[in-house]
Amino acid sequence: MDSEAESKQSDAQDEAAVINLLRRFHYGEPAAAESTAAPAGAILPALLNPYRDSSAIRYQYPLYLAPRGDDPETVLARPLSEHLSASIEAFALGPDQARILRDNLPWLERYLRQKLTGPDPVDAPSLLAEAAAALQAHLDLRGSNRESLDADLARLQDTIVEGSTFLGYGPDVPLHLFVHAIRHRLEPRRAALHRQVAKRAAALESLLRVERSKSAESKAPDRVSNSVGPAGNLLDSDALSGVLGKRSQGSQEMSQERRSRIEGALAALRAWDDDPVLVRLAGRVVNPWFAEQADVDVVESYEACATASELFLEDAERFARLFAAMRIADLEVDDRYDPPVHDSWFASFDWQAFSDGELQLVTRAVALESADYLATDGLPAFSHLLGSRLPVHVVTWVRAYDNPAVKPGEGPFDAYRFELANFGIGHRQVVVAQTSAARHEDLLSGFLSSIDSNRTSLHLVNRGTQTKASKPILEPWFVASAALESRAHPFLLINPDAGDQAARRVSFDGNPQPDADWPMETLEYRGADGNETTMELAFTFADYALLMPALHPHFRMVPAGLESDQLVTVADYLAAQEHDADRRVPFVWGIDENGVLVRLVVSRALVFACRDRLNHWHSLQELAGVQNFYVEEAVERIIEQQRAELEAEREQLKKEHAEELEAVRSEAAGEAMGQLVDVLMGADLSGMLAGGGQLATMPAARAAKPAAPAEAEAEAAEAEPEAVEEAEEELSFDEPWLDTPACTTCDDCMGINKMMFVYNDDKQAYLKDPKAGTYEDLVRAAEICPAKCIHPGKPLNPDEPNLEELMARAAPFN
Amino acid sequence: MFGLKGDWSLDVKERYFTLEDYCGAEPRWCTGCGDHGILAAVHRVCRDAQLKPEKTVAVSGIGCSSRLPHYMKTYGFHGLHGRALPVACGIKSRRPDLDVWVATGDGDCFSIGAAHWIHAMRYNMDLTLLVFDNGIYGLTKKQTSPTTPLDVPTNTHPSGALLPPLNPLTVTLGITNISFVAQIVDWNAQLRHEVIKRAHEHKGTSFVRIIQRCPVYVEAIGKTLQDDPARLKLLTHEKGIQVDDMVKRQFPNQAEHDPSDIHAARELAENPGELPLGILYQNPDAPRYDLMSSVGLEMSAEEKLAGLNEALDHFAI
Repeated sequence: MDSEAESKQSDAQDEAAVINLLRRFHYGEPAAAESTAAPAGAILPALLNPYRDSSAIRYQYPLYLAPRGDDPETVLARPLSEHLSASIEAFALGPDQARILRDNLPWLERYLRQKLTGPDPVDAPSLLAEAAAALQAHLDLRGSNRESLDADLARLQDTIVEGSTFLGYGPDVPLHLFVHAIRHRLEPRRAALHRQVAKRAAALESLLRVERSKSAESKAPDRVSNSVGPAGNLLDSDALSGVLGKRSQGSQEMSQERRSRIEGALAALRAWDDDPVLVRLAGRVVNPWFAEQADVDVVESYEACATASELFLEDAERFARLFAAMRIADLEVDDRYDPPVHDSWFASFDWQAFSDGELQLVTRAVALESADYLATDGLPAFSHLLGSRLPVHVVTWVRAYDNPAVKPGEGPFDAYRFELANFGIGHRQVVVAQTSAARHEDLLSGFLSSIDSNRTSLHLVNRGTQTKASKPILEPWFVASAALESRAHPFLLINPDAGDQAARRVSFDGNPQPDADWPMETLEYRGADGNETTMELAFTFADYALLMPALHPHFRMVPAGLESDQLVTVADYLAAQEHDADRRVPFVWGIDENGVLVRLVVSRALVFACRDRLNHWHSLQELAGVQNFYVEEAVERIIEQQRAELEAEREQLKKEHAEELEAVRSEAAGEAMGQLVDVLMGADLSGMLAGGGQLATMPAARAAKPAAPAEAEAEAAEAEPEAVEEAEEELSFDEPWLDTPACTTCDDCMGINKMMFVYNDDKQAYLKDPKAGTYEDLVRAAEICPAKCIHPGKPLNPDEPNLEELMARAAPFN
Repeated sequence: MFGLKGDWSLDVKERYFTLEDYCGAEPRWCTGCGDHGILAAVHRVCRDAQLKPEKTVAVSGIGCSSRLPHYMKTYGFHGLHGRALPVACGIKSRRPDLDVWVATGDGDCFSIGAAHWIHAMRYNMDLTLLVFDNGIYGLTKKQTSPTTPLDVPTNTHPSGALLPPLNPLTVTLGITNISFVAQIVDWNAQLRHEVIKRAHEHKGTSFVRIIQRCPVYVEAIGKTLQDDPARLKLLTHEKGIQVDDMVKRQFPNQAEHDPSDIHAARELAENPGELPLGILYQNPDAPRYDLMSSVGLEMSAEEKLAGLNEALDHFAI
């Protein structure tokens, strides 16, 4: 063996040893974990590398929060960048207008973003005014440019309505958005309620005033004189009092019971204080902003579910008095109050008797609780609330990589994850929203669905985490986004109000590539040869786990340059059959601070977690109707059934054809025999032996075997259909066609006939309908086509004029 | 991906330049001269691309066109007659970080500077080369230039130019390693802007022949073409210039032309009856001599000296 071969063998042995070591790490051998390199430095999943510099990223935050208004169609929140761009579009038509402002909008955005690092909403008009002044100072323009920018900035500021706010990304974003949504929904309803209360109180007062007018005191001369006013001394009040006394003898006074009821209802309506509180937050709310709001009541609690229930019941009791008074007022005004029926009804009137509209007026009670507590010690109270029918909202923050039910000292993958969403689904009549703060639209959609519903709701919100305490690699927004992308925390909204079928109840659209197991994305990188290249990568739960320093013990670096077909990506590993996966070592692609691609082998525990998440994802897909086993099975069955039917039909046709052929053969044989007999009977056989004569001219005699004319006829009969087929094929070459992949999208043929030539999804032309125009159109298009991809064939309409000339012109293109 | 839209990368301009930042001295070209429009287009392209004025240089030779550097508030080099291109190549070769514009004319480039024209095109350094072709020596008051049409009277040929004019397009398209050849007329603002913008974006020598009016000495040249747009052929193609319908209406004579097809470009250029407008040829992959000639620029003097010594040592006895 020469030295080169020895060296190669030695290298192979080394590689095998390294693979073996990595495999042992994968299987959880502590010694192997110590002998292999843990991830060091700021390693990111490879697909996240472009976003390493968060200052250069325009993501959905900060948000512009619309001021409160009566319009329910108002978009409650939209990304700042989108709002500013749309505002500019509203007053500047075309790219050349407000150019300086447009060009510097990213600067303005960055300024605002840098100012919006606090946890709470900031008054939008004043901050935008500050940013506008800063932009002018930064650009230091002169003359008309300065004036033009000033004018455009003023127009931009005019579009930012008083009362609107900006909200940067922070840990309290979901709660701010929830309060924002509640304000938008409840404020108009409460305003309408106050009008209704005042109206009913006025109606009851009218009833009592009429009643008072029937009393003797009201008819006394001095009261009569006073009621006329300054002109009272012109009348004879004594006489008038006497007349009133006589004329009103027929009217009846209301019963004392009714009067008391009306007075009681009126008192309840008058006693309704204009409580500004719209939402009560039970739990541990650290941020003082919420307690400072007049319409938010913060109640500290360590049993948030129970406290929120109590808060709701207290409010409901208060509202019950009001709603009962309003209903009594309506009945009394219409004089429909029937004591035997209504007395007992109102005696037990509570929140369960509220109409849907009434329930939606009640102050919202929100329980803020940690997922860990809900999944462990708080589980009974949590479950009780979910089954209670109380329209209370439970909001909890979920760590997407962790198991909320984990016990102290356990790792996140030591047990299968407790899925709180499934727990909520198990209670069937609960609105369940599993959302991410990274997607404000989905978040708001979940909140609004629950506010508009009168059901208990459960909001499982992932807010993302800071990836490093000292030097964040990625913003929490991005980490939350990655959780959604990796199926670690998929979006899910279940609204039982939408119907009985799961397909109607479940909304699943917020997930990236919902049909796929994992989202597939393209990684662009420069290969060892220096050329730009790409790779399709799945973003799996293992990729997401790489973002969590706490999970780095589940990764080990693959030495650079190590090539082995036993190393497979986690996605491929999971997609393979388990027995095939045995000898393989799964890894994920990472990228270090220097932009160098690295591979990281993952532990078996993490692979189990990936498989578990994938399995959970599949069950959610099925629930949402995205991938349904039964549907797929039914489709497969129908396809199989149709295939069988077609096969049977084909067999039947073949059989019929064979029978027909046999019949033709017999007939032909008979005819041939008849002809032969005729010939033989009337022929002069003397020339036969000379090889010439009449036989040579007979059709059957053309066959190689003149002794078997029947067979020859049969062959002729069989040959006939083939000849037809050939003719058809030849005809197909006469049909016009267009070589779509060769089309250069020049639009020329479209200019000739837009009905005949149509673009496909790739904007390349195809021949949609050759009968939609003339043969001349086809020939002209062929002549003008720079790619020469149109082939006119032969004319379809033989009556078209100048066909000879056109066919001559078409010939070079056929 | 990750909830981000296509415009996720925040492109913040730390410095912002308006048109005024590129406007130098007040132009002294004649009223009605096509050069004004060309200058405006150059200013716009600089502004749109937000070129740093201190990183931009305009180079010229001699002639009306060559006054352009004076009207740019950037670095400028008003060179010798016919020598705009060697100066520009020198700048680009030593300072590849600069954005180099070259303004030259039919006399400056196609006559006295013809040798430099040929070789600069072959070098294919990253320059934007604008040839202001009015078919006359205007600065020196109406002498026949290489592109003066036949029979047009000039001071040097009072009874009319005697020889058929030089065709700059066929010459340029015949040079090895060219990478961008375009032709426009100065009187269509949109086409002019789009072509100069594409020329600037192109990495390599972008040759743009601009048929330009000289209303003082040879008004008829431009006017004839303006009055008879059938003599102009707008080149349209998905890889070429994208213009709106208004421009297309102005140039009813149009042809679909793929600018990567040099043979078709030569055919178009050779047709004396129709002047093609748009990009005739573009090859983004042609080798660039500026990339080769600027290798090692980052080396310090000591490093260069050490390298030289090492090389010379090979010859030492």
